[in-house]
Amino acid sequence: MGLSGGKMKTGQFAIKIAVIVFLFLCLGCEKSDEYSFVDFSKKTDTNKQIPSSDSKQKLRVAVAAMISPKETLVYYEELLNYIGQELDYEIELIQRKTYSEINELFPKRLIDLAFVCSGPYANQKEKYKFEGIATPIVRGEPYYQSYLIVQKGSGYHSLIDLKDKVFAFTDPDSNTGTLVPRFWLLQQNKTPASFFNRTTYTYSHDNSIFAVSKGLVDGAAVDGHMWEYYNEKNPYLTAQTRVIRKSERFGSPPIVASAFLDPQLKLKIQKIILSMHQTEKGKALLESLMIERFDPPEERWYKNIQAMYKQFHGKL
Amino acid sequence: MRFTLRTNRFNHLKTMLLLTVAFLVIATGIVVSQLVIKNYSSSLLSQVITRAESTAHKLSLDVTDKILINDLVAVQKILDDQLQSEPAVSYLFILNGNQVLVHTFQNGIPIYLVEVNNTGDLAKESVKKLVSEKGERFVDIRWPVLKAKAGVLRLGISETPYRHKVQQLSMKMTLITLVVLVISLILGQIIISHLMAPLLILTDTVMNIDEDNLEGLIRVSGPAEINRLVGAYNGMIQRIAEFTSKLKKTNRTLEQRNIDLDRAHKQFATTFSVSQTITALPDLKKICFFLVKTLQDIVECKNISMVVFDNDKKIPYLTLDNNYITLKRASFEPLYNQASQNQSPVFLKIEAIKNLPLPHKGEISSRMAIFPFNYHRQVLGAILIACPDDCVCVKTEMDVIHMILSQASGAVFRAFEHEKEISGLRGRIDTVSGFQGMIGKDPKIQTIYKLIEDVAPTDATVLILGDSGTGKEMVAQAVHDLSDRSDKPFIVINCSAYPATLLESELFGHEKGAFTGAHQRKIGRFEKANDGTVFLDEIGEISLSAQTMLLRVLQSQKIERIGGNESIKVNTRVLAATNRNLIDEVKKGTFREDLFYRLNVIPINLPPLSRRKNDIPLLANFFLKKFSEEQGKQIERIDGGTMRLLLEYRWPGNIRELENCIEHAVTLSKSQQIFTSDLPDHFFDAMTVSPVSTQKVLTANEENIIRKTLNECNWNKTVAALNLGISRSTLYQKLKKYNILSPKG
Repeated sequence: MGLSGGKMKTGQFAIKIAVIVFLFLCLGCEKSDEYSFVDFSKKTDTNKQIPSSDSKQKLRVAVAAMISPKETLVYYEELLNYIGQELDYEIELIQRKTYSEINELFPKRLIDLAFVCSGPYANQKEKYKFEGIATPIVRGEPYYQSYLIVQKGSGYHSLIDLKDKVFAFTDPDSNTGTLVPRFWLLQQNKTPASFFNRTTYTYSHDNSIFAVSKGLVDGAAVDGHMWEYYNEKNPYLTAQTRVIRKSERFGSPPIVASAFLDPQLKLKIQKIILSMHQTEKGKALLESLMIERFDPPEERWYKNIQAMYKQFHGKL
Repeated sequence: MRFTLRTNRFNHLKTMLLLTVAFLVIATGIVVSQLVIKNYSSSLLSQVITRAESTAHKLSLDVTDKILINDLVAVQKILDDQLQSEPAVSYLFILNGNQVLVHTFQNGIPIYLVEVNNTGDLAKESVKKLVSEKGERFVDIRWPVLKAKAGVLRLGISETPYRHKVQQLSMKMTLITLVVLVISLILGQIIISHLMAPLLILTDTVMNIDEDNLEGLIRVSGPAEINRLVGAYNGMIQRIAEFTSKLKKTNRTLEQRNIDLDRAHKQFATTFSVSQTITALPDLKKICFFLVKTLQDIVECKNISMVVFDNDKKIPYLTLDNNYITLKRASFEPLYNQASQNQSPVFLKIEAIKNLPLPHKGEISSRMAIFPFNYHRQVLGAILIACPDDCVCVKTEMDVIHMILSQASGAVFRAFEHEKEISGLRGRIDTVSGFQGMIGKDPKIQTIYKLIEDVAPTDATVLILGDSGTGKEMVAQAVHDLSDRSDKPFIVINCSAYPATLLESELFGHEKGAFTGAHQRKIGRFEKANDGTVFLDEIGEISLSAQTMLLRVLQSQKIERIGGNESIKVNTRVLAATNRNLIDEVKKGTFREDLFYRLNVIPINLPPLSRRKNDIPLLANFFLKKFSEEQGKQIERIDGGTMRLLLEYRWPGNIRELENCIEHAVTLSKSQQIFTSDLPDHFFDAMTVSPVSTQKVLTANEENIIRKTLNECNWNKTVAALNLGISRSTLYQKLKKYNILSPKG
């Protein structure tokens, strides 16, 4: 009896020790993560293209670099998607760094539809083979302005104050970002080179707002719609800027179609865009873009741009 | 008993503790290093991943505009730069839809890699761990570029450097663990040794413990448990020691009680068997021997003797070794006094022992215990135990000796009484054979006894006649003893011993100045023996003047001192004895006739021993007993042949010669019998010169033989002569010589 009791105790002791040791070792056990096996050896030759199964028709839409490419995508994506869905086309967004790069794609028939700046539209639509199909109506009118902005805390109150300062233009072909301030200087017989200490191109309005708000430049001219839009939606940057001058009104940048686009399709697209505000989805979309609706562009809206352009080139 | 411990090293507590320490250190080391490595590894990995993610994030931001404006060259450059600047990055590529826009692979894009992390919501980043066919591990990070609208960036980081770091850490940890293990083992060894030391001392002490070694209290101190153990052990040892000493004490007490009980039992058995045996013993002598023997068995000292007192006769008897000795009458007093002084045992010193009238053998022992034994306040005797100086044997056995003696005293008393009774009976029976110290059953002597009895009560003068040594003085003593004067003086005067004048003075006394040398008055024997008896031995030897004076005393009962005029009346009975023939002396005129007749009122003629040969064995045995008792010898009897010699002897010196002869024999005897060799030489000398008696025997036999032969052959003289081997003429001579006549006439 005593012996078996002793043996039982020894057994229990051994079991206890074993359990503790097991738990102990479990603490140290590495839980091996799951690794997926990948055979690196099988490779494609040099072709980066991976075969696509998409059979939808493509509508190539370009957006001029009025705002930076990323902001453009954010701004226009919903709108493009809406058009694509309504049209049952796959939308391919094409962006380029400058207006001219986009514009040059039209004659090459690489673009079907584009959002372009009012400047090129008013002056170079024949050259680049596109025609306007819709102009956004914002706050009841098809116009927009150029805003001369400086940093909020700065002491600049007029263009004169910016003499010998650093000034930012947007795109060389931009109406509100370049033409208008140059025009203003022209009116005073000044050239950017003589008036400003230094000038730079930001290639988009949001970049110019960014540059002014950060103090990278002392002043800049930007699309009024854009400024208002950012001031409404994302005032982080505009809050640091102050508009010291607004230009006269110009026709808003329109949506243009390639001259080579199928007229039926073109009509269909125009119809979709112009009736957009009539659909619930389109209306909501437009509201978010602070656009009331799209109207067919009228030539008179862009006359002053053409006049300004002529005067400008005449001076040159 | 010593325990033999199994010397398997792994069984040692110390080894086990060290192994446990080692195990704990190793296990802790393993677990801790595993945990640390795991944590380190995961943190490192997450750090790597985080860094990679931030890299991916930055890259995606960098490339967004470039992708959007389709500036792939710039994107490619960015990716290549990134790959070069960060060696951990293994690959980079940007996927838009199903199209790989840019990548950093050499020799084409791994198809499966593109697909592997290309599921789910592409707008969300995803991390996937991959392992290549070569076993190389990668972390693949998928990062959306502008919420995947401009595509997704894929970034691969090889885990090799990270794993390398982990491995290094693992090595370090192992080394640290080893160092810790070594230090722990050394520390453990030291600490465990230190802690175990009291335990070892305790163990050693416990192993050395046995019945005789219970003093081992341990004085060690250590941790509380050891102290408690030591305390418990010491307490236990103390309790054991106490119990042991109690047990020992009890054991001793029990042993003592056992011994006492044994002794008591033995004593009881002994006393019982003693009293049982004693009652079965026939006589006092045997009882004494038995008692001495019994006590010798009990007491260590074997030198034991026993004294028994005959209080009537004032004679002590001593039982010593195998002898039963009658001691001298004189030794009665001191022995009796010694025994009767105390009821309890007395121990005598050597001086006192020397003074005791005992026959000592060899050296006197230095101590002696005397146990008196009484019966009804009568001192019966004493046991004497002689011991060496330092002996305590008696004291331990005192009780049992006392008990035995008190048990035996009754038996001794009864035996003594019995003996006395027997001797009384024997005395009465022996009236025929003994009378007043005289021995003899011969009719001649019996007649004399009767005569003495008759003559004693009278005041008649008795003349005792007989050869020298026939016991004349004894007869005179008997007459006195049996007379009314027995309590008065009995004066013996050997007349032949004095010159004539001196004899007169001796008998009748003299006045001062009666003769030369008479310086003062002297009272004579007759005067001294007034109212008593005067025995005049060798009366035939006295001078005529003395005879005259004696005659006057006999006639007038008066004496006159020599040189005195006063007649003094004396009442004295006169007994006389002589071995001479007084009638012849009267005829020769040397003895006064009137005195002869005055003396010869009652003559008693004592026969010579040769004429009462029947009494020789009686007398011989009497003397044998007497002398052997006196000399303390155990001589039982006289050899048959020797007795025959004694019977044949002539005994010219009569009984005195026989007494001397036996005394001589007893003195010389070495055995329990008297043999011929013990007899004195002159005895044989006398035997050889007795031709006369031999001749008589021969002639008597010759006559008897002739008569017998004649009777057998019916008085036919011829046949008889033939049978006798003699001639008829010789037979006729013999018949004539012996005066043998035929009955037929």
